[in-house]
Amino acid sequence: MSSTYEHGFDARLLDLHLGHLSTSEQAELRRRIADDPGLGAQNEALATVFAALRAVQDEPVPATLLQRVTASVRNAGPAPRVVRPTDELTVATERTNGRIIRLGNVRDLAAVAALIVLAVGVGVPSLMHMRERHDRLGCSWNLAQLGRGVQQYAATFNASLPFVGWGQHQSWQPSNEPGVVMVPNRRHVYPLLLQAYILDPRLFVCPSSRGVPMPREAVRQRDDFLESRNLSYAYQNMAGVRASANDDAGLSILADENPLFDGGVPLFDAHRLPWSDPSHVNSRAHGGAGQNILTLGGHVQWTTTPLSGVNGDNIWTLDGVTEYTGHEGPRAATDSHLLK
Amino acid sequence: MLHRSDEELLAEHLAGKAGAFDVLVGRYVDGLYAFFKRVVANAAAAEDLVQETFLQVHLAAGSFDPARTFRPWLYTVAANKARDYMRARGRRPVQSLDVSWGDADGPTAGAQVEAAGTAGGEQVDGKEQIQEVRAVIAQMPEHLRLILVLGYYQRLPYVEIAEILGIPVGTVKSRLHSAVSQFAQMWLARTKNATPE
Repeated sequence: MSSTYEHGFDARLLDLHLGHLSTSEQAELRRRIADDPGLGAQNEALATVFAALRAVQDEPVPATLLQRVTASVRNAGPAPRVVRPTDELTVATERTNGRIIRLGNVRDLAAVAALIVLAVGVGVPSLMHMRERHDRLGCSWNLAQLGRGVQQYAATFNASLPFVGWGQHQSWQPSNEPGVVMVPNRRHVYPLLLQAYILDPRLFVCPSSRGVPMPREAVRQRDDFLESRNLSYAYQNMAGVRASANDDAGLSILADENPLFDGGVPLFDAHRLPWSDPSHVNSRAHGGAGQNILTLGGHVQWTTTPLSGVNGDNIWTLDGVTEYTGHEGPRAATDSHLLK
Repeated sequence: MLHRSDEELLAEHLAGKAGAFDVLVGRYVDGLYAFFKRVVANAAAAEDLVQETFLQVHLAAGSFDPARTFRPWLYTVAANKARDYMRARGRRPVQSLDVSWGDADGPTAGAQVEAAGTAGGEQVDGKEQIQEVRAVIAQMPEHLRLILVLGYYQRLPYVEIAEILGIPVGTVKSRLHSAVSQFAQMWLARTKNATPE
């Protein structure tokens, strides 16, 4: 059965005229065209339309354009080297991976066995602590890679951070308002994956979380993560003033999950929240001990308090807002509000 | 150097090798100029945009991920430049032609394609036809014009267009279908208007 789009002519005819069919597919379609007068009429009509389009040939490029382009590039000086914010971290992580690889060596295996015996002797809590530290390192590695993707995106889109658009009839939390649709803040992160700035969906999932990576085969078919578990990290609220890559390098733009919001819904009473107790106000991703934070400048840091934004800004809340309806956004490019 | 891949040339350019970027420019300057000329319909602007695109590619070369392919990245930058130009010029899609589009009572787009097929070639020809086609393309909405130029004139694969425009492959196909349908409809309207009473 032929596949047709809503506008009327057979979609395969477009593929045929654009040269997207294999030889066997072309032969099969031409047989169908010969057998089906309706399809034949559509094909002839499309051929005439493409003949009209074909009438506009490429015009010769101005003779001096090539020279002007190369001259302007030369005048701009050498291509700026991008300082990878992740270099130190990369080296550290590679070193860690190196240890794992050397486990194949008998002497190292013995050492590791001794370590394991020691760890068991010391107790399971210590083992859990080591595992958490390892996961925390993996988490910071993920954020560093995401930061690299954000920088590449910004370099392509005139310094804009990943953003899919925002309007007054949208809300980042579930809403009963007529005509208002929910657009979770995580949607703004998705272009990093869809447009291949980040190739591995696993980088969006913190090793300490119960998240599940987005299936690779589904990435191209969608405009959002399949489910909330495909993204562990909270991203800067894009509903208000949107910071660009040129703003304060210390602005927090991605971090472990915000403990105060779930699916955009506030879980707290700001007046009664025990801000002095870190276990209540730190991300729950790492047992309440703290959170990894990525700044606009590309640095990843581990903090034990959410008051880690620009000038001690609380990265989980918006300045001056106590009631959240899903329409609020930062009023300044230095105000972080990280959520999914 | 001529046999190097685009990605290798960009890496050599970053490493400071003279001439590597010139080869890249030579490979794409014709295609980019044709792309801009059709999208913004202005030769002088097209020249400026080609220069701006290569300059931005040069300045952002350090952030290019070598695991990616160069051509979609180049055209992503170019498409953004084209959009910025059109928005700065305050261009808005012109759709107010005599024939309705998407009207439930009107002819289907498929019928309009067929009608365009039978009427278009008889009414205008030669230079006049070229001018008419250019005018129709220039009147199409920005997103349809972009995809028509990328998909038909630049002959880019669907997957690359999806990457350039940041949309799923399925959306590329349906949007290109819409673009061809709308071109056919507007072409029909123009050629009908050109018919002597």
